[in-house]
Amino acid sequence: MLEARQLTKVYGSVPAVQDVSFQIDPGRVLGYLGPNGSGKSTTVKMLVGLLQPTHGEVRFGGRNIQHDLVAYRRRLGYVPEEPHLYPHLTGWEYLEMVGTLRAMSETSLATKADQLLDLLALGAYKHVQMSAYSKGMRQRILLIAALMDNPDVLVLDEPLSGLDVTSAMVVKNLIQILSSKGKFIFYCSHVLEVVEKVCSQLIVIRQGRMLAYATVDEVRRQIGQSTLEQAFVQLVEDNDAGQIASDIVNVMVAPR
Amino acid sequence: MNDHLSSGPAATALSQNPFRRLLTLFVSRMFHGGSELGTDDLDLGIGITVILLALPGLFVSLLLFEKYGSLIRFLRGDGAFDPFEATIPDEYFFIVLSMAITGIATLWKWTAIFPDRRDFTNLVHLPISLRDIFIANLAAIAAIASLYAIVVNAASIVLFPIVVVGSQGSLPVFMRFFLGHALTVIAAGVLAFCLVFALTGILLALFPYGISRRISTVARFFVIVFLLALVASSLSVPGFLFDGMVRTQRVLGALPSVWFLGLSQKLWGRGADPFFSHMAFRAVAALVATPVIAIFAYLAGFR
Repeated sequence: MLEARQLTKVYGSVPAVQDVSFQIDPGRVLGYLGPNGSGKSTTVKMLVGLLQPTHGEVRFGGRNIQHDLVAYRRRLGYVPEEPHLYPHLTGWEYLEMVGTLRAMSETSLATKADQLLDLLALGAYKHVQMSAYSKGMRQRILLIAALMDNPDVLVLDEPLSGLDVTSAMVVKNLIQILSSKGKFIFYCSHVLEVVEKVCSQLIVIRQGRMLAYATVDEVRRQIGQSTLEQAFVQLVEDNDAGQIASDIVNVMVAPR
Repeated sequence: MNDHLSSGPAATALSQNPFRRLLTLFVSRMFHGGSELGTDDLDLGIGITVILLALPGLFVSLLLFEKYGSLIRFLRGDGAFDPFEATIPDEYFFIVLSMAITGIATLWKWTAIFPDRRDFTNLVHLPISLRDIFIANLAAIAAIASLYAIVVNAASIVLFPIVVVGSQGSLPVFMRFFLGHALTVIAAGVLAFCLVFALTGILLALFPYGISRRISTVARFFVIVFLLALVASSLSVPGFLFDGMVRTQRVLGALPSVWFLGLSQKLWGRGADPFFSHMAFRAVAALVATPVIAIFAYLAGFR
């Protein structure tokens, strides 16, 4: 079980995340939703051990991950929000580097990297420097890097960002298949319909605090809305999105 | 697309030592710009960078054939000369050249010396310890410092002794000149690298990342101005050193390049002059202290 206990992160005197607790059982996909600046990325960074919580802890298999981060990270696959890759490396070189640092065997690394590159339509570009890659191609490289060592825990921060429709469909199906194989999946996203489709449970966060933690159906039912989008808006938005859009148009069309 | 193809089968070879792979990564990223994807840092690659670093020393060494070539000296009617005394101005110029080029090259790669946000995103979630990342980056920095210092001075290390003492027919003299010159200019280059490295680390240790980056622009400007001033004054400083004025010597003794001139005199067996002995001591002390300060500053900045 992957578990967060009262996770809190304070920058200076500003709390970014406060008392966030959840658990993910094998085969479950936990969706993590919130507006910009709500503390999603900070939570993700604590979950993968990039940041140490100010209070609270992340536990995996009953142990605080900070006690043996290297062992935890052997079982972790992480897709970061921004694909900041090394532009001078080719896609294949990047995967070779990740596989080597993961201590994968030479044969396994070469076979898996080649196969996954082909499956995600990057086979023809594997020896091209990533400075020439589109955002979607870089995102697919990050996905392959996260998946190729067959991790037990997957932390995905906006994994569909920049992907074309076909690749996005592949990834959505992939998440469902991986959850059926008993993986622990933490899925952080802005795309509500994807969260609705792939996640078994959902957390809505705002200003660092959890507003809801339940299944998607339960969240909808609790808020009394028929769609997740309406429920999300009701939970986190103070402003009327329709009214803001209307005001923007009014500013645009105002005389010069 | 073909412009971006990597360099063939070697690029796809698997390297199964994680530490070596990290080291390779850090060395290569220092040559390929430290910027994030999508920015316009000048990316010359290793080959072009090495050639650019080596060229000034090569040109200056070739120009010295006219001054020290035995045939030209014969045709001019010049008699025998003491190579260790006659070459002091040129030795000083090579020291300054080594410090200036190494320093400017290090400033150019300033943003790539330390691990940045990209390394944080790509490496820290992998099953490797922070200690390994730290040591690999430090080893890469040491490798780059050595490479810069050797490449910048490679031509003068080989050509300068040949030009000056090659025709004197004495192997001991040649070896003394060669080793003294080589050790001095390489040490000067290493010190220039370490000074810039220490400055980077101190800025990162003292200020938050964003502020230190802004301050670094100003700091880099002043370091470049200082290095260019060293080059601009390099032809006149040796003359001032020997004008017999103690006050002038004391003022010029503050320049790191003068310390290394003292070191070269010592290594050439001409360390009887107390001023140059003192300068040599300063050079050695700086060579010991600066890397230690740089490593502590780096450690503080890394944390």
